[in-house]
Amino acid sequence: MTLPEFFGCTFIAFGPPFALFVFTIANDPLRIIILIAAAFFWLLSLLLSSLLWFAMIPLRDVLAFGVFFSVVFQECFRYIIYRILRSTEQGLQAVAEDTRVTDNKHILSYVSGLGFGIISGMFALVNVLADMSGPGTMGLQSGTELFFVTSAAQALSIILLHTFWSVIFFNACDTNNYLHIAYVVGSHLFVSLLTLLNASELYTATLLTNYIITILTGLLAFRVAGGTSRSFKKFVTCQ
Amino acid sequence: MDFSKAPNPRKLQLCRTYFYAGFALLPFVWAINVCWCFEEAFRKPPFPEQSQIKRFVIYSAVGTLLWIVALIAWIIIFQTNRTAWGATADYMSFMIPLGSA
Amino acid sequence: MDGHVNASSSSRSGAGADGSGLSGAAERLERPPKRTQQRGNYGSNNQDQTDAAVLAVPSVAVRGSSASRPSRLSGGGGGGGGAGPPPNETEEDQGLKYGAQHVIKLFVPVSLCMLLVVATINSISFYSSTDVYLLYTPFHELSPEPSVKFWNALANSLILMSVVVVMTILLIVLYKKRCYRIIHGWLILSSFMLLFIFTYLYLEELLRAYNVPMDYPTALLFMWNFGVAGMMSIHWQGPLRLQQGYLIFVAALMALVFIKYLPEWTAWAVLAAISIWDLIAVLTPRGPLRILVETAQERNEQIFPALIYSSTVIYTLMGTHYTPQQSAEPAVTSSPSSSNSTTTTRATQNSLASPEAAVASSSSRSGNTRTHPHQNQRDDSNVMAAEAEAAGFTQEWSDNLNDRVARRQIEVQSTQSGNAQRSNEYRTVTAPDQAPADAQEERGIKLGLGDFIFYSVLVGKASSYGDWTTTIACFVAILIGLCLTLLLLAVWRKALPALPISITFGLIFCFATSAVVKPFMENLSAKQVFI
Repeated sequence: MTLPEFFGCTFIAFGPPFALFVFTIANDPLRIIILIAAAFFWLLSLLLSSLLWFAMIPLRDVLAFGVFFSVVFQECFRYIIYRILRSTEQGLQAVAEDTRVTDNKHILSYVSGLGFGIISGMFALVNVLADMSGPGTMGLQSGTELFFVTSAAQALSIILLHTFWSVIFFNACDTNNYLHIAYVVGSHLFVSLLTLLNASELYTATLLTNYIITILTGLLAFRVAGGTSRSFKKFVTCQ
Repeated sequence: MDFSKAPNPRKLQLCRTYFYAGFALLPFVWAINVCWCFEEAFRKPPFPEQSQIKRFVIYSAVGTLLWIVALIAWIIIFQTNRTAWGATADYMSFMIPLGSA
Repeated sequence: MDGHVNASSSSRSGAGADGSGLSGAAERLERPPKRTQQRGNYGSNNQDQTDAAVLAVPSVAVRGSSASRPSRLSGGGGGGGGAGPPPNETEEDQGLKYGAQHVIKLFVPVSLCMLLVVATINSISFYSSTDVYLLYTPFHELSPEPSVKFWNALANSLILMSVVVVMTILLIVLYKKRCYRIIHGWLILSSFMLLFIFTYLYLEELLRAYNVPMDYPTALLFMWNFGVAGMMSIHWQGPLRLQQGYLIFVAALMALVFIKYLPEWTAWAVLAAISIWDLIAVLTPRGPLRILVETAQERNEQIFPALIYSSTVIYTLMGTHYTPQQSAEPAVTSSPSSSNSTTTTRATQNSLASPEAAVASSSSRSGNTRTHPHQNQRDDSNVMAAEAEAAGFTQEWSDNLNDRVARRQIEVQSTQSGNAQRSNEYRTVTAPDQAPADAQEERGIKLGLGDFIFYSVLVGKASSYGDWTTTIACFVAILIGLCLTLLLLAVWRKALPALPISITFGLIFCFATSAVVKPFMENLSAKQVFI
């Protein structure tokens, strides 16, 4: 059972992001590079937050502390990516093969957001996945057998959330919409702190709330990117 | 190298070399030849050397198939009879699988 | 070792028989000045002319055709001038654009190589434990004392590095004296060892790890086929994909050998030392790799293509083919004469028809210099051989190091690719011009196999600790380092070492991740906290 579980959880967590990657990123070299650069910046933010967590020896067991600062660092680096991408926009315009990359600013934010999300999901899940493939499994002696599935589902929601957050955040920075910036930071903080409840296995509460927030954020990102209910309808009916 | 850009006589020469090389117990080289020259032999508009290339490709494909069949037959025969053949088969074994619990 | 990155607009530089230029990349960078120069002295630089012609190409449709040499020269200058600004800009942009494409073309093989190594390390325990040691590492780090281990690692890496340095110098001396046969033989020998002996060991461990039964006749047949096909495609001629696959495999095998046989601390020390050596060898005025590059440039040859993974066709078909034309040309080329035979150019152009085809720069090169094809092949063989030797652990091994160094050179000629495309477009017209041919010649990115090897060693070593986050962090850091190197290449336009930035990033992230990030992430994922 360990192997099916491994594949199942892998596909739950990384199937949708992989599909996004294949269909929207993989064809454009520039997007791949931006994706990897975003992942690198996320790594830097993680490194900083880990250093802080590591240095605060008395607070090491208080995960909320580490989580809080990690979220702050991530949002800071999101802003740094925003600055970098916007300041290199001219260069990108010259370089881009596909002019849509620069014509539609949301593509850049989407790509960097997906990079953020994928690397964060990977870091959260790879070691769990490696343990998942056997020989042992969860829930026989202690713990809950839902551990792996819920982890994968959470990782998926975080990956998607990062994508949406970047879209909203970049646009908010462009339009000086402080409300949206506050929403991004606030919901990120909320989601991350909410997952602290996972330790006490309150999966229904955390997962449900997380996915509600994911959907709401997705809707907001859709609106921000210029989508309307009409365009959605058109898309669905393939007009 | 970019095969499709090579001049036609060169293609023929390469194809022929690969075909003859395959006789040195090299079915893999035949398989490469088939994949490599297939386009030239069957998809391209006709050119003088094409018929010869086609012939070499077909021969290579036949040779590859024969080898695959022979090899699979040999492996099946050997592995099913390995225990029955005793020490001889053990000497011929590169890797004897360990039993698992 | 020297990982160079050459952004060579090889075509231009290469085209110039003068070959004074460093790497093509450097030349490429120099273009703008060149144009001016061209205007100044037309006759002297054919290459420049060609470049100019290339540059001008976009506007050229008529001009290129009309351009006789003189006209061309002027055209080159004029083209630069008239169409100049736009073409230049476009060139640069295109260079970057193709740069992006080429970066990905490098990412894929580098990733594949690392993936192969990581997968092997994780599935075959044989490669993650060190019980036998290389001759070059007499200190085995058996002491539990970190300080002793540290000195052992330092001494080991110093010994290794001195071997590498000596071998590099030997290689350069051989190259300078044109002992191509010796170098070639050496490379063939080492690739032979890698493709047969080390593949045999690999096969054995692979079968053992997965408990697959196999009999000797089948195994030997497989080895024979695999090895011979590899030798054919690497040293002679074979499908590009197959050759690339073999190069990746050989690099991965070599990396596995390093991981297996180097004591732990020594492996890290060697990685650091190699990247420093890379820096020195490529950037200092008398650095061996730099000398190598310059010599190759002077001779209008490709630098040890054998040691280099090329995203496109490295060596020319033409070696044999075009010889007549080439021979005709060489006479011409011997002088800086721009007159590569038009025919050759055409051939190249045809190949160029698609930009990628154009990439098959070697062919175009052949047009310029007939030597290229042969040398390229040799180079390839060299690379392989070097690696093979490395596997051998013997002198060959050290030799390999040299080779690897050479391999590491990355040549980015993306700009050329841009040119090539243009040339393609105008092919009919420009065909007579040398320029297009030249431009097309060196397109494509080349990354030394040595870079592949040491990147893979870093990632494989990181993954041997069983922590996937460290592996991923190293992977991302190396790719970003590669990106930065290529970016610097585009900015500085001279040969650059490919190892230092990537390896530095990789080492920093490896240690930082395993020491600091890993406990943090483990804490988080155990409690299912997501950030």
